Amino acid sequence: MEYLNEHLWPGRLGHFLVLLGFIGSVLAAVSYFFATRSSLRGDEGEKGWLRIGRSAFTIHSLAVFGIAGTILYMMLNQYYEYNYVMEHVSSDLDFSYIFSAFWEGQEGSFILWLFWHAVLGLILILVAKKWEAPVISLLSCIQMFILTMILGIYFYHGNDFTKIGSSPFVMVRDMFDAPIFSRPDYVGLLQGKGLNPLLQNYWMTIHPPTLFLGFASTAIPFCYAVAGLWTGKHKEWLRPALPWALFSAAILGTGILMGGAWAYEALSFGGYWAWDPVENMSLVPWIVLIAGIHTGLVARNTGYSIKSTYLFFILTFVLILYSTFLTRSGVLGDTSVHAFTEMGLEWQLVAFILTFFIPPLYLLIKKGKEIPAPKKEESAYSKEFWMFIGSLVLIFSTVLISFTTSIPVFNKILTFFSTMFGGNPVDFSPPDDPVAHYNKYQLWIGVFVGFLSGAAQFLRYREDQLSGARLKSFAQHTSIALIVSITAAILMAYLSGVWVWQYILLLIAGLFTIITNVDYVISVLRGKIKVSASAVAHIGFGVLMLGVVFSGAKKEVISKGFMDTSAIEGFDAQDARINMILPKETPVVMDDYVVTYQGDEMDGFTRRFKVNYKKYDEGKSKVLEEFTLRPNILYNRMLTKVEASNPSTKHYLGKDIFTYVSALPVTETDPEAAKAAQDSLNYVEYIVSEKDTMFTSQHYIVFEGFSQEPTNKDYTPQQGDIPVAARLAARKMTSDSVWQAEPVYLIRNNFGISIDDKIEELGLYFKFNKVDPKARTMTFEVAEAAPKREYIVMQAIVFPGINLVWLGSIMMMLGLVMGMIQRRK
Amino acid sequence: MKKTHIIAIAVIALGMVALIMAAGDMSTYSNFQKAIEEPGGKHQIVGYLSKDKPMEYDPEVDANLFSFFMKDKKGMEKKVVYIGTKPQDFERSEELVLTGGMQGDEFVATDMLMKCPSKYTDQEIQLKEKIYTENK
Repeated sequence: MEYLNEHLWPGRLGHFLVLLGFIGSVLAAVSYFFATRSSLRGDEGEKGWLRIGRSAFTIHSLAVFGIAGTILYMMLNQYYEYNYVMEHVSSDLDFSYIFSAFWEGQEGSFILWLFWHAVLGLILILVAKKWEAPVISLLSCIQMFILTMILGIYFYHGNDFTKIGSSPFVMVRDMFDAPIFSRPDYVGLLQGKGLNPLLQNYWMTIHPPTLFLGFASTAIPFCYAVAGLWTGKHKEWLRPALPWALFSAAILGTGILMGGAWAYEALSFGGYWAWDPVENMSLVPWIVLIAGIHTGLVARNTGYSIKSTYLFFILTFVLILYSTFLTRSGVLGDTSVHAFTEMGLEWQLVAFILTFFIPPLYLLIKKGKEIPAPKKEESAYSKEFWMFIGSLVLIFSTVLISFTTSIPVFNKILTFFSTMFGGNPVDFSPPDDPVAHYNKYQLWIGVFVGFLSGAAQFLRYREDQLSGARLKSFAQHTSIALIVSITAAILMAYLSGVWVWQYILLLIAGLFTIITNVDYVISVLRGKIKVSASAVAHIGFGVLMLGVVFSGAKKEVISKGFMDTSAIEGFDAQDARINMILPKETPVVMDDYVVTYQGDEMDGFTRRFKVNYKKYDEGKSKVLEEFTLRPNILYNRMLTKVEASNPSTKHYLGKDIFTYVSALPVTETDPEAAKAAQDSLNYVEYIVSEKDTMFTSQHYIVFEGFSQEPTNKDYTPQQGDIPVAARLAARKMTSDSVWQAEPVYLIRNNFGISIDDKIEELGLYFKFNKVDPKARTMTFEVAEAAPKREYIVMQAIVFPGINLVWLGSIMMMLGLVMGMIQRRK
Repeated sequence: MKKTHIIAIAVIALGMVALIMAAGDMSTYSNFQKAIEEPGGKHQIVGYLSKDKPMEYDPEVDANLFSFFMKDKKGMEKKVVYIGTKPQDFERSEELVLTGGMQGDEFVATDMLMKCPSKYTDQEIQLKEKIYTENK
């Protein structure tokens, strides 16, 4: 069949570019491989291979940019005949979200990853010099593998097929078999599904590219490490690899941090870190990378720990691949809130991991003997010894995190073997309270690393003995810092009421790191900021620890529902009661604040709620402080369903107050419930004369008189109408305020019609059914609903010390960047 | 033996101990029958929402109480009282993971994870609906 209005060329171009990119990466990998081999053998061919490699990688990169450009072009022009466009774009999607839509899907995020590898590879061509050939050869292999993820090739065997990759250029009609495609004009009937409303914010624009640059940049130290093993230059690779590792740690760290900030600022997770599997598996490679940077520094300065550095840089990248597998294979389905759904690429992802894990590991073991290391073992008084121990502890931390996070993977593997031998599926569940589980172990690691990163600053590389003046100086600096931090920690804990020994220990360790590192900058580095990268990073770590303690321990839900009608006790039932109902204009006391829901306003599909906070002095007479928060909800395009609820936060230097709407009256979120409420009205008939009064259970209504000129808005006059409007005055039994209503009875073309009226505040509905001119009586029908209740259900949480978390994290990243700049020289 | 080796072995040993302890925090997914048999304990139960049974959430009575019925993987159906608000799109959830325990004849859940239908099937439904209305 000939289809109308299809745009076939972008799809063809896209498929072509994917193939071109793939071939380019194969060619680049092979040419650079031979270039490396020629250089190792010292033969002639190197220059020629290098030239081919460069052109191949450049073509590959251009193809990758072209793929991204083609998809963006299709999205901007809304070519819904393509599945990827249909799934992520819709006609009402704001232009500024086009990039977010681009990387919302799995295919798009793979392309983002490819894009950053290509950019980094092009930079390496310019700066890597003699490392260019082996490093880019390996990088091209990685590109080759990622490109297979978007290849979209099917191998049929009988009715079954094996899929390699999922192409973003597949057309809808090739994906689904539906009668709509029997129409030649089906293109015009397609509509885009659009971007998930939860993702329509600026975080979605900046978080994924940063995170993926972080992911992509871990490949560079990996490639250098494997290149070092390959070429046998076990010492030389460290110098160029370290700045890249520092760069990678800074970017990946920033990406993770942005994820935390997003969760905290815009999503309703109620915190910045929830130990969710997806969060964990981006943190784990980062910690391993940090361990690798430490052993790398040791290796550069002393020649020890080269093997560990190899292992850690290899592991970092492999763990990035493992994390990709976990989030994209659907295996986390039961345990994570933000994993992707299955895409049928599981085996491909597993092959990806194994390819980049087993051969490098084999190479490391095989060449282990020839890797140089000083004969003499490290002195226990040396910096390198304790830096190595610290790295080991970091690795220990990642083993624990990965273990618990991998439970669903263990289930899959154990079930596979169990069912093979006729057993039952294995079904281990993660800990009931994951946060408590992780904190329990990571606490000790945090404390240990805190003390270590303070004390080790005063040790020196290759120091055999710590005696005489050196011992005195070391003891002075550390003991004074220890005494000050213990005193300060106890004081802080006492004043803020964080009187739990674990927290006090964390506070001591955090303060100790801060004090010793500040001391180190002043007394050892003499205030030379340029070389104080490590001190800045470690001070940041200390500040982060303080922030974690205060925001974690002192996090307080102030919207505690005091009414418990259900009498449910035990468990954490009382702790879980974190929602409170706020009827409109009714002040509610929450902790130190009097909170009032003042009203709402619609703006497009967004409904903003005005929530006013007031803090009074002790006499309850003077307002000390007042502010208004505006949490909002986002409705769907038909205004019938709530798509997303966005919090609003008041920021102070010392704390944040976080407010979020968790529920609304059911009639405002469910159109069926709203209709049912209308239909269930119970009308009662009243036959009255002028000045008579009608009584309902809550109100009384006086029929004040007629008018021939109706003002009822629902009435549109037509020629020949004979209208009669009744003036009704309604009052509550309990108050004197008067509300007016004006139902209309009219005769149009010999038929009697009632134009109804209502008073929503009172829940009164009026019909005007009959006029009897002889008896001078009127027939009304009045229904009384429960008056419309306006309220919101909300959560309010106070986070003290959250700014310390941000400040500490930013200082860590700053320290890493400073280190990178320092090491590049 | 080198000091680093000794310490490395010590860290690995410590790691094993910690892992064994961490494994102690784990349990297997439970079901309603087990929850009835051990009323004091905490259970994680995977199951499916009973869409034909009533769901109740009235913030004016209690803003932190949402009740519904769930069928666990063994097919047993129980009334569930979830301490919290009714989540958006709850009706469309495919699978639920509850954490909590039995109280009387009800399962009281303090934590709940919903698994929603994947985008693909959702889209297929939309497409089918569309085609259906087109052909009418």
